[in-house]
Amino acid sequence: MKIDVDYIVRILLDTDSVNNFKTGDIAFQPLKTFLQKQAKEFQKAMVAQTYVCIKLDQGVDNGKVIAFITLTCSEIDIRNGYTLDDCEHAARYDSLPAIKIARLAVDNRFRKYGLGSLLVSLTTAIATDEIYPTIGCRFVVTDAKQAAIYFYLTQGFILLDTKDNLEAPEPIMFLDLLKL
Amino acid sequence: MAIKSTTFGRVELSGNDAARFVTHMNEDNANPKAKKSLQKGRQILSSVRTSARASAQVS
Repeated sequence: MKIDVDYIVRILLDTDSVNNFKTGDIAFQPLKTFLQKQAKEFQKAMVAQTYVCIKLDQGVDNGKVIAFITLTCSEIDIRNGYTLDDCEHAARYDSLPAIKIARLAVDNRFRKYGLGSLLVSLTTAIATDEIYPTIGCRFVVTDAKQAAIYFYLTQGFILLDTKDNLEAPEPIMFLDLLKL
Repeated sequence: MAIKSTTFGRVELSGNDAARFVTHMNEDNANPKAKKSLQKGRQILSSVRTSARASAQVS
């Protein structure tokens, strides 16, 4: 039996219903709390932007959030210096621009539809096609939960494979947009 | 600590972590999975900007 879900993807609206979002795992509670109590505040403060998948009820957008991703500006600061083969002059700067995936969650009743993958793909496209051409952006980066490492690898992210990073509770993973 | 990162902030790398990161930047090849993700993302971005509907199916 196949089950369809009709949805749209858009920016989080102030009127969206976020109180019924279920993660299904206590470990993901902070993600639910963020959506319910902070996402709209961060958006209004222009600190972060949240994109949502909205389930359509008979084609109507009733603001029912079934997945979300929160993005913010970031940078990667390489403290012991670096040389970019493709841009040697960039080495005089302290850091390189990045977009950070700060939050990503899918309602547990709507997993297996590929919504998380869809939102990460959206992020890559925003960084590549909108942010890079207008202001510059080299990386998409995230602090991945251990349980999410495989997921991000399937999206093409690189896991920094150093001992410190591999042992971290939320290791750094990144996408180098120059390699796309 | 050679890695510092906050949820809504910057990533700081130093020592071995910074060196390994630089190696990735300079030596990694194009990533087919990332390219595929970008192609999919472009379709979604277009739908976001035009408020188009989408549908997903699970077995």
